[in-house]
Parts: sequence; structure tokens; C-alpha cells
Amino acid sequence: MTKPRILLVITIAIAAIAAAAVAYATSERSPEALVRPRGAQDELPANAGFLRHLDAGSARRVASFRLAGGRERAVYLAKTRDGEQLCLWDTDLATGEQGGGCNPAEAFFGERSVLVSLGYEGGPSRSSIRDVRIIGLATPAVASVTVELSGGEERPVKLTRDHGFAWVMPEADVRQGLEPVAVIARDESGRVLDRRPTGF
Amino acid sequence: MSHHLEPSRRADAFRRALLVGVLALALLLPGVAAGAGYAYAQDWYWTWSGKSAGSSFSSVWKHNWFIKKYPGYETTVTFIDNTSYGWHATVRNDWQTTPTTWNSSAVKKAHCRSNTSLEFFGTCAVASN
Repeated sequence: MTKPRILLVITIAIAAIAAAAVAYATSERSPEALVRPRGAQDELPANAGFLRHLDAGSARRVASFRLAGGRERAVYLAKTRDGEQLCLWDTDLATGEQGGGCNPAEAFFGERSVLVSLGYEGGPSRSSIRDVRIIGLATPAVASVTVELSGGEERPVKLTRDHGFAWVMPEADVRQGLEPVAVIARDESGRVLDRRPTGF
Repeated sequence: MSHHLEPSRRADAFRRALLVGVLALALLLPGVAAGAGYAYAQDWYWTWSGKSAGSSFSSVWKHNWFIKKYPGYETTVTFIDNTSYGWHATVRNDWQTTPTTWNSSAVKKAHCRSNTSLEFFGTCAVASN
């Protein structure tokens, strides 16, 4: 092999290694909840609505909550059976009813710091809406999350160790006509990392 | 994720999206139909906020999901009963797939709605189990 060819091969090899390093550095890692050991609380209900589309063994319960009527629900993070998507599910633990969202597994958060999903019963007229809740998952950089109500007031939301959350709008707020307009994620210094409108 | 395309590129993008959608449905629907017995899908280029699609009224519907080509387009999925015409198990977000289930035996129709003025390709799919 001639000297120019050797130099060309070395150049290509270095470029390939550099490209691989950049790709690794910029690739999105799985949410931390999926990496931690599974426990009994992570089991999806046997009657979960979309169970046959999910890899049940991947599921992690990332938050729990109760609606005003006492119904217990949980938020699960799970892969689809083909591994292509990650889904966050607001799940009724008695009926198995589920709602939420799925994003590509390789870019679950994309450029966002927090993903949110709004759910409710009733409507479409605002006066008949009840059980308004917001579920979500935040990146590790997020230290706190609040829900911004119409009028500008913010309500704190508890982040779990998995960086999941579930917020149920108090019935008193609903009766006053308040609306949850956005979810705001901040870092430890209080800097706003993301603001996601709920669409409500 | 926003996708603003020039008009000259929009037709190409639409054709590609249509092809992807048709292929996806060809793969998805037989599986859904085989498992469910009943399935419905509305495959559309969603072009304005408020555009909606839905199934017929039936007691069999249980699952409703809005599948978009990309995340970033805000959509709503719900079920509408045929007595009060109220909404049930409503979910609204901008994830790539927005799913919901309602186990009620009531007669209802699945309803999907776009909440964005951005144009996107998506499928409103409904199944009984």
C-alpha cells in the first residue's frame, strides 16, 4: 500500500471514529426510570387497555394519584412490543382504562425538558368537565415543575424519584373557572427550561 | 416539531407521507382487525385546527388513537356517547401517538381532532379490543 493510500485510510478511520463519538454524545439516553430495577409496583394491571401492544416487562410506575372521587390511577412508562416507541400511560388501576402518549424511543424527549399529556372527563362544554389531570415525565436536568393556571398563578407539582408527575386539578379551581394552561419546568437555579402549553 | 414546507415541496412531502401512511395502515390494520373484529381508520392530511374525524356510533368501540408521522402536532382523542353527546376519556397532547381507552358498553363513537394549524399527516384509528 502506498503512503498516500495509508494516509487516506487513516483519515477515513479517524473521521469514522469522530462521527461515532459525536453520534454517541448527542444521542438521547433512555429515561432513567427504565434503567432502574423493577419492583412489584411496576406491574401493569392485567386488564390494562393497551396491554397487548406493550412490552409489559419494561413497564415502570413513575407516579400515582387519586381523582376527586377516590379512584386510584397510576402513570406507567413502557416500551411498545416492537421497542420502537416509549409510552406514558395514565392508567385506572381498577378498570385498566388508559390514556396518554407515545414518542419514538430513540428521541423520546426530543429537544424538550418535559413531556405532558392532558386528560379529563366530560365536555366539550367547559362547565361539564371534571377529573382534569396532567401527567408527565421530566429530564434529569429538571429540578421542579409547576402548573400555570389561567390568571398566571402557579401550582407546585411533586416530582417523583423517576421524574414523573401527575397533577389533578382541585374541583374548587374547576368551579372557579380556572384552567391549567401550561406546565413549566425549571432547573435547580430556578431558570425556566421548558414551558409546555396543555392546550386546555 | 414544526414542519413548514414550501408549496413546491408540499406535494412531494404529501406523496411521501401518503405512501408511508398507506404502508403503515396496510401493516397495522390487518393486525388490529384480526384481533378486534371491528376496526376503523381515517387516514388524512390534517390541514387546520378543528378538523376532526370519527367512527360510526357503536357499543363495541374501546380504543381510539391518533397516530402522527412526527411528534409536535397537538391532537385530541375522545369518545362521544349517543345520549348526552358528552365526551369521555379525553386525552390531548402533541406526542407522536395519542391513545385512549373507554371500557363503557354505552353506544359511542370515537372522535379525533387536530388542535393545530400546522399541516401534518396522521391516522385516526379505532378498535373494539
